[in-house]
Amino acid sequence: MRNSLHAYEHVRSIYFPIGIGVFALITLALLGLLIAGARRRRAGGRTEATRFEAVYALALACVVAFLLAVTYKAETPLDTVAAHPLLRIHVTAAQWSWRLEYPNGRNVASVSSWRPPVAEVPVGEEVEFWGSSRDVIHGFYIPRLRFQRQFLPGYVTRFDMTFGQPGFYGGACSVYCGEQHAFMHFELRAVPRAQFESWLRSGAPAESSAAGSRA
Amino acid sequence: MSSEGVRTASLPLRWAPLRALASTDHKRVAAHAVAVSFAFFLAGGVLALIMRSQLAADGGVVSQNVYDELFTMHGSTMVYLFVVPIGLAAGIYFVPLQVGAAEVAAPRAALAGLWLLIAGGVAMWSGFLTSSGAATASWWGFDPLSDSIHSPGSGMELWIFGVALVTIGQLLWAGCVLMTALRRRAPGMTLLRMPVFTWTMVVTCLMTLFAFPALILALALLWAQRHFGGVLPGGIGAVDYQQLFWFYGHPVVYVMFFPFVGMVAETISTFSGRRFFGYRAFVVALLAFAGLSMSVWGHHMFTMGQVTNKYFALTSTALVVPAGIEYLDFLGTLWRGALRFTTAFLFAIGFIVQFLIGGLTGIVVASPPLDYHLNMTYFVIAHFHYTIFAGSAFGLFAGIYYWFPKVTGAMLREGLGRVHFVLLVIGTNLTFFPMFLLGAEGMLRRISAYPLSTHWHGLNVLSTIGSGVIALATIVFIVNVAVSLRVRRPAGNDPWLAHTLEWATSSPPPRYNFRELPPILSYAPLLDLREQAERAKAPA
Amino acid sequence: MRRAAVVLLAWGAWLGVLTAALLPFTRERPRPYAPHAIEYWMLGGAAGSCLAAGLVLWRLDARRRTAAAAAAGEPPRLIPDDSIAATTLAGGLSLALLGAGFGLWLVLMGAGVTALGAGGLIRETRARRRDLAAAGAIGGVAPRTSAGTARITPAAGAPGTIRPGPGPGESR
Repeated sequence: MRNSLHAYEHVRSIYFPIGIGVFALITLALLGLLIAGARRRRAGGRTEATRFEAVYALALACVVAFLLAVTYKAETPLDTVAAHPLLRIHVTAAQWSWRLEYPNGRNVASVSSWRPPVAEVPVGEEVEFWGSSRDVIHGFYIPRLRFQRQFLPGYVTRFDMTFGQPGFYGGACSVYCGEQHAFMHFELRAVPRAQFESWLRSGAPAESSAAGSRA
Repeated sequence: MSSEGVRTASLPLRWAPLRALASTDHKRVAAHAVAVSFAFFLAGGVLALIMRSQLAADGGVVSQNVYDELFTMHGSTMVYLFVVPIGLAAGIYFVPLQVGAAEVAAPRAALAGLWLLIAGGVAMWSGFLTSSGAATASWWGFDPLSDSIHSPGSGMELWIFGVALVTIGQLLWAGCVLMTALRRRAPGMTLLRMPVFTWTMVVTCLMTLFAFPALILALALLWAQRHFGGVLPGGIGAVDYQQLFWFYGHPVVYVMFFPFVGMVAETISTFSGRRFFGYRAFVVALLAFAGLSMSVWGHHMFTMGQVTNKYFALTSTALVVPAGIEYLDFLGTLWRGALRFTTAFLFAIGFIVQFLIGGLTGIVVASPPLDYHLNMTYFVIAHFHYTIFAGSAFGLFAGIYYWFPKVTGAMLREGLGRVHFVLLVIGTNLTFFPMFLLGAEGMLRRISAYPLSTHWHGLNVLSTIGSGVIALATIVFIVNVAVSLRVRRPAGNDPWLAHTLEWATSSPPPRYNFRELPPILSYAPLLDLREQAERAKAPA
Repeated sequence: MRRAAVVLLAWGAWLGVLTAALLPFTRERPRPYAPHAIEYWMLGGAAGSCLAAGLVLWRLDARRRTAAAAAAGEPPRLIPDDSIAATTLAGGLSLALLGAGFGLWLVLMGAGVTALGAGGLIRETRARRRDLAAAGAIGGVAPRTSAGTARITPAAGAPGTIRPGPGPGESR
């Protein structure tokens, strides 16, 4: 199942500790050199250590290979699109609104607002989005799912998302698109399948989440 | 050898101020370029302060549209009008001196580049004076936002031409500096005896010459799209614009990095009192790094789903290897050194620590699964400000404190320098570190306001306070320069006991740089001379 | 000096390797995630033009080596002190480009100023060549020139050359 949140957290749990570790190591080494050097009267030391540097470069290349393996493995499912998604939602972005169209024709539109109307999605299922723009490039971004994709004019971008937990998932336009860019929000709510089906048939937009859409 | 030849009369240019402005002396051209670039830095900085007030004050300081002009012009100014030109200008000044040449190659082209910088910068900024305001399509000028429908008005036109003019000037400068290093070296100065700074300028020029034309092409296509349409059709046209733009846009950030790496390298080897460690490995790493930087551009487009994400993830992550070698060489140069903690040295150390944060977070966003969340957020803004401001700008100040005595003949005040350093460290980290946290929570860039329910306000206030401290630090620096020029403390030829040829001549150097050149036997000729003299004095 | 071209040739070759490294990704799917023609063109173009520049430089240096005697060393070079023509050229180019936003009249004016500047550059260069030839004949004294200031630096040996101070003789 394509879970971008899990993918992000998994890769992050490897990258961040390595990064912090490398930073700590180099800074400590630097500190040691500065303290030792502050007291030294005469400079000395070797000028070259070619073999050591070659081995060091090789070691770094191994680290790179490891990081890439982790990255590629997490990325492949995120880039591919499901063959038979449960649900396909068509999204149209425009300056400065979102329109989500469901298979039965139901539409939810949010226009330049930080309290947009809520569109529902089924929890725990693969939802496919087909997105396009009517004018400039926009970005469909759901921070809680750690995922975004750009929508281009005259082109359909396809991707899947899985809403693992029930609740509100706020969305925003991530690609700068003009004056009202900061206000181009949308809101999704993941609910159990049965509840989603009845919402889809009812035609009434769900209430806004009062607490906003932060995860 | 004497450089006092027979001076011929110049009929059209008797008026001294005109001659000063039309001077082809590479040192004057470079000094003027540095002054112009620094002025643009201050202007771009003011824009940043206004933006920071807006974000700390929960909106309401400026309108949305003005805010869009602010971040467009802040980014454009800092990239096109400050960091790139000042790095190349340092090359125009110091590469001829470091290789023992009398003048830069094609000095008239260098002079033309200075005027193109001024004309282009003025053009971009005059957008603020037009009725529709300055350009608002970000420093990328990306299509379709920048086309005639979505960015009508002369501000965008002035931006396009302004950027084109300065870029042409920068191409000329890169050609001059590269040719100087390749073909104007003094006898004895082989390629592998060129100082580290000269090598960093060589790779800077290589990237400039082979990547910047892509920007000119992108701007030409954008202009044609605005006036005739059909050139960049629909979504794929937008992708093609960004392919071209980022082919320039990634190497340019390394053009904004390598000259300052060179300044740091010179500074730490001088104030360590020993040769730079791992010179040959460093040269190979520089060439590898610069080449790789030409192949990573697609990582700016990961979230479009339109480029070879995995290839660009590979090349971007592979940067760890040459960067790691460079860091090893920095530490190796400090190893067994007898350190002198001058202001220049402090800034160099600041670069080493802070750039590391920027570089490591760069590896984070080089991973598409992570970038799918962090792209377009304040995490990226923090990443590139750590590399370019906490990194390159600190390297720049290291270079300024190091070379100011050579250029002006006067020393900068060390006391004020330390105050500048401390304030800048505090200000920089206070401003940009909170942005990592904000970005990880999903705060997007280029937004003029955010809902208070996000609880982002506190971190934004912290960041704004930091920007005020940066402004204070900059004022201290300007005071230092003013005081040091007013009440001069003479520097002499070589106040630092340095290693490279620019210190073998007077401060400032005479018109044709050298009256006499010392023997050139390594990349640290003056250090060689001193060690030779010591060995001669020591009892056999 | 011949070695200088090595830098361009080596870097161009490295760019070529990086271009070739796109190939293994040709079978990435979905399709947009596989390499596009423009990526090959841009990176390959940079690689190719860098190699070409390196070859040109190599040939230039090779020709210089065989033509001039080793003892003659660096040919004398006249260094300008100022150039109002370069400033004019830059100004004209700026006017011409910016003029596109204001109208053809400004573009034409800018083109005219650019031509003036270009003409001035040619004039300065010709005057320098004349002075250099004359200095070679007279031996170290520069004649008056009407195209900007020129300065010749006499030294022991051929006029107009800059030689390093005493030290072990080194070849490039």
